[in-house]
Amino acid sequence: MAPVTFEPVDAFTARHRDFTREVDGATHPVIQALRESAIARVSSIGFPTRKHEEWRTTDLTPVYATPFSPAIPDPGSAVEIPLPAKLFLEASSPLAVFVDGIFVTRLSRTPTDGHGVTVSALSRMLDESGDFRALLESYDESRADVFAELNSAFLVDGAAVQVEDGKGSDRPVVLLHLSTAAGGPRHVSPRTAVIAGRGSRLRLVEIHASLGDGRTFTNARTDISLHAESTMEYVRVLVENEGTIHIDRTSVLQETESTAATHSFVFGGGTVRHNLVHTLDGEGAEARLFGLVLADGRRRVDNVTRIEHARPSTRSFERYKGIVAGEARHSFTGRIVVRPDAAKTDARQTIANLLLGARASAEVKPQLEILSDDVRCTHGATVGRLDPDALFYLRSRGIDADEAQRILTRAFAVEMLDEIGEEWMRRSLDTLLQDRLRRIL
Amino acid sequence: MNMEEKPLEQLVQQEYRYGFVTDIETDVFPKGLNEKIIRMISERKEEPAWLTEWRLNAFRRWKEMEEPHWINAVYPPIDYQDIRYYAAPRDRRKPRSIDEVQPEILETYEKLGIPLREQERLSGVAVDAVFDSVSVATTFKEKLAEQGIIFCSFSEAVREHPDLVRKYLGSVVPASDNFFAALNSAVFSDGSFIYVPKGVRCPMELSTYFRINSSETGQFERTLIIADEGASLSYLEGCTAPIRDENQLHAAVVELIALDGADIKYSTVQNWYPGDAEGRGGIYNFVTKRGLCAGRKSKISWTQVETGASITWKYPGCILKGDESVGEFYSVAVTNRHQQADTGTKMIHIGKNTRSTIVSKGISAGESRNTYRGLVSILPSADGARNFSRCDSMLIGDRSGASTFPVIDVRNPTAQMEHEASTSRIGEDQIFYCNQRGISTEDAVAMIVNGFCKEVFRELPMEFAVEAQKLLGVTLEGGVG
Repeated sequence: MAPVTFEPVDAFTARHRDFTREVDGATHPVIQALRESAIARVSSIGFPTRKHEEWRTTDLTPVYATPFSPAIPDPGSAVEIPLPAKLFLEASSPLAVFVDGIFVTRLSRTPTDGHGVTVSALSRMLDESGDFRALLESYDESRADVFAELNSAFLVDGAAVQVEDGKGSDRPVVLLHLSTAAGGPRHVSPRTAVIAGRGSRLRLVEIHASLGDGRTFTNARTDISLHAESTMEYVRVLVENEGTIHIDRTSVLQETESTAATHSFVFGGGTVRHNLVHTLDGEGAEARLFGLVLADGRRRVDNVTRIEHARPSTRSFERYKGIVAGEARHSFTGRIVVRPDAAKTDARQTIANLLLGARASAEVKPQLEILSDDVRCTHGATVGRLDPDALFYLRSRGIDADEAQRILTRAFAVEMLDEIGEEWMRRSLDTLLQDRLRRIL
Repeated sequence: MNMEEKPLEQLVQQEYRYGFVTDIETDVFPKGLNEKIIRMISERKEEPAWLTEWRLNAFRRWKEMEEPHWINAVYPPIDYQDIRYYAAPRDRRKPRSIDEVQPEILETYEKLGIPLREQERLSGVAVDAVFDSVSVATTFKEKLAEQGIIFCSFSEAVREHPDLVRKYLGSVVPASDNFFAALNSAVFSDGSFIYVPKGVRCPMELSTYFRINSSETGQFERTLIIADEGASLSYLEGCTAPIRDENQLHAAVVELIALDGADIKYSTVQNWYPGDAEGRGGIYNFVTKRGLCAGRKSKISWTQVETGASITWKYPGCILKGDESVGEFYSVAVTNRHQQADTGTKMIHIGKNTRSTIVSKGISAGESRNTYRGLVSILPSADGARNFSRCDSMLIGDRSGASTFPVIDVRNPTAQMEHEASTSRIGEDQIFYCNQRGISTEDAVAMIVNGFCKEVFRELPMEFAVEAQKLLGVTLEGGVG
């Protein structure tokens, strides 16, 4: 590990000072106040090093050692949507576009179409609904996360998604994040707040892509609140360039009988860490977490999930797969907590990793913490390579070695696509998957 | 909560059977830890200068180390200056045979079910009995010596076989390995030493029985077992302590070395005093155990049945260095009342085609906490390595907790690793099924629990498998629900 040449807290506080001087006055007063309280919390929490058990798997040296400058709004920005992102855009879908982490109303499509789905700038929503302010300002000291606070400290404007009670649509809301890294390494802080009303339905697609090869530190945060009996399907696709360090925190709070499925596809980025927290805070709530990682070169992907069974009769199902080639590394930490009164919990977790490179590696840390006896929890993990017999079978039928590897690897991965409800989205992801496999193998 | 909880709950409340104190004159050192105490221990044991220096170095390292607190357990801070680091029965003559051992001590072991005399005649198990800080008797020594097997107390090994001790001491668990290992290296008192020469299969089970008797003492034993090329042995340790309100520290270090083709089987039945129903007193069992499969095709197998101690914190591990070496870990950890256990294993695959198997069964009852924590690390050099792990937890009663924290790190694509885990409880339907067929709830629970642990008991030497099953019944009495 290269020596850290400065104190990260000092560096970020100094940047924060210059940054607020530029953006104060031009942003919503609630956001402005949040930035101040958040930077104070950043200083008091401090930044982790490899000695912090929870961050041991993530190399944060480049975050601390690179002079990333915080992105500020650029009113004249015009962007060309990159190809992989285009795969997920339907002409009529509501669309929220973020350029360098800042929500740009001008580029977004925010129709009001009778489905009760509203997509708008967070700053606009703050004036209309107190719920969004509460969600934005929510802070749990016991689970303080310095990067989540750092996101608030550098927030300019984010996106708000709201679904009215009993309403909703199958057409996905697309959140498109583009990073330009214009004028040197950029620190971007995208923020999304989602509130799905009682009995509502929501489909979300989130895409992170880079424009060009510049270096970006993406520090994203998404807070989702699902009211009773609501349903959400959330698909996240990361296709950023190798110069990107992507640290992301997604929190999903689920009330009674709500169901949520999160699908995370990590196909890009240099260093990626996704922290995903589902809190099942209502009886009968259900969470389904799926993830697929495709990593090659020297990329590092960390998936850190936490499922809290806080109420009785909650269910969770988690399945992550990793395809690791070259010298890449995939780490998975999946914690399942069953609180004392969460009787009749059913939790299952399966992790499978496929190692394709001689120097590829995978680390799996399933963690069960069970404080109630009336539960059923299982977890399983495997790490291995492609079956030599299956490879031989394909080769004996005239398929070359690379193609044979691709066929078997796609077969390993494709199961993760099947879980998605929308047919065209499955096809788009499959196209992307095959394109990536051709590059890796 | 449900109907059968009450009778099951009562099942668990049995008293600790080995809680008596032997009234015997003991030679104890003043409380506290400093270089003087360490020199005194070394002097009392008539140790050579290199060992005194080794201890002092460990002590210096220990002073620089910070006490770890990452265990999934809660306990008040330990005052290391409030412990006596040496206690021994006052008997200046060195007993040359069992007949010379003080009768009170022999009686103690008889009460514990380890009749040293009879053991010698009947059961064919060689026993090294450790009483507080010293080894008081070793049986079958001469018979074993005929085959060149050395089985003696650690102090005796230092005197009689200094070259072997010097060569291997600290080679698997270095003094600076961790806080408690460093403490042990500085103050270790006695323990067992075994050396099985080339090509010899040890003809009988070897066993050490550890007994803490004196109050305010800690026990810091050191065990070193070496199996030379093609040698094979099976070893068992057991432990108990009197009932006391205070917590006593037991920080042992066990090092195993298996050379080419050697095979070591190490079994533990741990039954230290677990504390009373309110969680007062009991032993802190903070132990470092590690085996090195140094040679090709060597094998080390750990089997442990952990029922006692107020806190258990240990991870017997294997370093699979030799190609085609094998590591095994079979564990049953039972916690009841306020006991806390954080245990598991580490399997480090270095050599090619190394294999490891982990089977862990955790049972938590009462208000106890039971944690499995383990590491399977397959390094880039370990082509074709295989690991299979299975850890299951059973919860009895709604106030107990079970956690599983395995870490699996695979850095070689030719390796294969599988891990499975589950958590469940004894189902009401299972109990009902048994009741219906005339099996009492008590027997039904015992049957289900024994079935749950069968895979591990199968690995124990026969005599101890029976003992372990009984122990399990006793530990769980009153904790089932």
